[in-house]
Amino acid sequence: MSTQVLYETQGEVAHPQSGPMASSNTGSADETVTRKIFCGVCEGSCGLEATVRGSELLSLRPDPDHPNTRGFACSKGLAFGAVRDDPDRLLHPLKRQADGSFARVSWDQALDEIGERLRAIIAQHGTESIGLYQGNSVAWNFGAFLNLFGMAGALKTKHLYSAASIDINGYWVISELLYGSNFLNPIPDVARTDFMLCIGANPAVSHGSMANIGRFRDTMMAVTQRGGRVVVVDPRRSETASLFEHVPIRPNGDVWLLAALLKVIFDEGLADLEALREQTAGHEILPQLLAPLDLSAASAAAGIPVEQIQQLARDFASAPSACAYGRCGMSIGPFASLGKYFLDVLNIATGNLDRPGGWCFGRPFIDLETMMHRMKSTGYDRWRTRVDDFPEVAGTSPVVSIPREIRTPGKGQMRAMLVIGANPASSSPAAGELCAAFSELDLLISQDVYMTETSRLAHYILPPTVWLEREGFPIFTQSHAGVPHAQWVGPTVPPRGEARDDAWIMDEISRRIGIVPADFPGAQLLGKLGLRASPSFLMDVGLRTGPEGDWFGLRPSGLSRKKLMERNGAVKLADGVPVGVLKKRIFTKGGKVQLDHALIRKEMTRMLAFDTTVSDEYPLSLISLRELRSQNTWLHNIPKLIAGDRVQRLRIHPIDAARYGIEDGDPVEITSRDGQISVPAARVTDEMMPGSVALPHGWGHTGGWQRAVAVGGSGYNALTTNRADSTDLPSGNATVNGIAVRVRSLKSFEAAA
Amino acid sequence: MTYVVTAPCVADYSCVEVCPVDCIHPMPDESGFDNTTQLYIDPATCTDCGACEDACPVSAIFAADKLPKHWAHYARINAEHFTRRDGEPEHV
Repeated sequence: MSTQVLYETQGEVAHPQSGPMASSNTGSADETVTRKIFCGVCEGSCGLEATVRGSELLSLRPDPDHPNTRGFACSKGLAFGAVRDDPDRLLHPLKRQADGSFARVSWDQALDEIGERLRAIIAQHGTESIGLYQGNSVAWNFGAFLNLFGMAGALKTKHLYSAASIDINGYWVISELLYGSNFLNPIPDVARTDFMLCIGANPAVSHGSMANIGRFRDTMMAVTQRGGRVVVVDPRRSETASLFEHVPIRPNGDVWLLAALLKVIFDEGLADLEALREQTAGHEILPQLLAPLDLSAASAAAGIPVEQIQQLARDFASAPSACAYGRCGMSIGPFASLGKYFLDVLNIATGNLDRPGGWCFGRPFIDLETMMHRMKSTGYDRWRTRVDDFPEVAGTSPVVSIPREIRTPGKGQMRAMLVIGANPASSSPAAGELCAAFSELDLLISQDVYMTETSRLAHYILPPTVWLEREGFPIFTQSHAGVPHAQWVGPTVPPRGEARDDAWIMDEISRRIGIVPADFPGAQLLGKLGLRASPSFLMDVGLRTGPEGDWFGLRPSGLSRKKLMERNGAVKLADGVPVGVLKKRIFTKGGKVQLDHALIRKEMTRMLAFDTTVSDEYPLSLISLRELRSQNTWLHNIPKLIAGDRVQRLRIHPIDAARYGIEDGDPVEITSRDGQISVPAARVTDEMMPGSVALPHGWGHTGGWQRAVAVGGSGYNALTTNRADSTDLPSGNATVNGIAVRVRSLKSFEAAA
Repeated sequence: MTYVVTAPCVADYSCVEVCPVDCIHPMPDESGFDNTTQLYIDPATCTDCGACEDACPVSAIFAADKLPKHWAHYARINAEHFTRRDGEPEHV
């Protein structure tokens, strides 16, 4: 069948024992083999060794030979076999019945009915009424990633949503403005730095985000061991902060701190003007931009004394090499984009961009940044969203808009949505409103391994493979690796039940509505001729024609998918990140970082006018935190990862606890302007900055994952808002940190009951 | 003699589950477990059975007399965990 020629992956995913890939990677039924793979839980992408007998996964251990992670892996990845083998995992397509229950259906029935219903919706409302939503897990799922963007392009829909807009959209905006691509983001060269400033990140627990530094904690420890400094800025004395110098900061104070650091650097003549002239255009704007900033106002907003800010600025600027790195804590406030701008400018203005120990570009083995730039898949503000007028970010609309896009009539109103590996009913701001809006859709499809609070709202739930069961390479983290490397692996074990690869599911749905899930010129025409290029084929072409490729044999030492898959383990490309590559890597005019943007000036004005005072009614500032044995919304069903007395706990400082009558272990009620929840226990701890409280998100499950439901807790996002004006306006990223709340103990109520 | 938990530990607690004398801490129901990135063996109660060494998924546990040279100081780090006052920062 000609349609299968290029789409070879799909056959293999459906029948992993019989495909050509399987033959090179799967042993016979009783043979025990060890395969070197990588973990697909978080941005650590740690090298693992999987021991497999037939279809059974015997163990997962860290891979001591992995170039980047060198024998590190954490309890989440090592326990991931329990997700694959989870008794609560969905193994067959399910269809919701009139009474709300779900019944098992065949793939053919599910896909045919979905196709029929989508065709009817498209006939009435157009392809632009179809929505797509990707969760964080898609970052380790290149097939789903390509098909998702491909479907959105083929449908010409603006309703492409990503969990990134509750997390990191500001990064995508600033990298497009400064470097010319949403996905070209420098990383801190921790391995060689003399001074690391770490803002709103907790790598000892998270293992890094937008910085795939192998053995992150050890690499940071080595900075101080060789006489350098690590300063961790966080409202909470996090696991990382407790290892280094800790500077407590008020939630969402980071943008003020960064602006103040830069102001001191320019006012005191500490800026590296030579670097600014050589590497950037528009740097003249910086002193003007910072002129109206009052250091004492910035100090008050950040909760850090002026003298301490000044000293930090001088120390950072005078270090032989320095890198400022910031992540989630500074990416989910109302000025996430401006904060990210200042973070990059701090690195650039101190002469640390593209220099050893500074802020450096990675070396991806597949140059996705260039591929996506050429295909115009990346960009910013090329169009606006229908209801809220948000600028698009890399072709996506922000999650905050979903309920309004479903409920606002008119051309382009969203009528159907396909959710891939995501749980927005828990993770999206104002989650209750999103759930209600979801129930108004004509069709909701969830591709998920569990019956989650999102999938239980769906008309169809389609069971995907997990990363152990599908072909993969670290599509997202390869660009951020501290030790550049290449790895491409086949399925480690066959899928359980009738699970199918997400990419296959999306392609099958696409076939039934007459599109090819691809957004390159001619893709739809080729589809009409029966040719559909599979994601692995496209990525292999990208690899082979790219900087590390074998140029189809012209460069025999280069890489190809086949060569990598035949190798049991990752290939090291270099000992560390390259430097002196700025002009080669960036896509902006003249190979210079572009610093002058009207948008930035506008945001600075907005920041200076922003009210940072504390309200009497809601005196505490709530932030989320990452826990050691959890990842967003989806690892609470694994016994090993919820052992002990793990419950959702609100961290609160003893002073605040005393003021509001809360004792350690008390159940507490948390109230914001937008909602109220109760959580099982308070943890009174001086790790919190007074005035701020921290609560992990992703708890309070419903649905069919029984242990996750049993561990209880409440949804953080009952407290948050999706109002358009509450977001980081340039990116539409939700503000889910620094939520004004009040708290009280529920102990007396419990006693009374 | 005792066994010692060294740097590669990721607090996976497979060792806690197999320890016959509950000498590996913090246990899942003890304070500090949620945050700790490493576990410790109490030399005063360890009976030297070696069950933990086999169970460790990251090969972080060694008999004290077989500690690799670069992790020799972990014998002291393990012992000190049980003499530290509560709230004092962990070793760096």
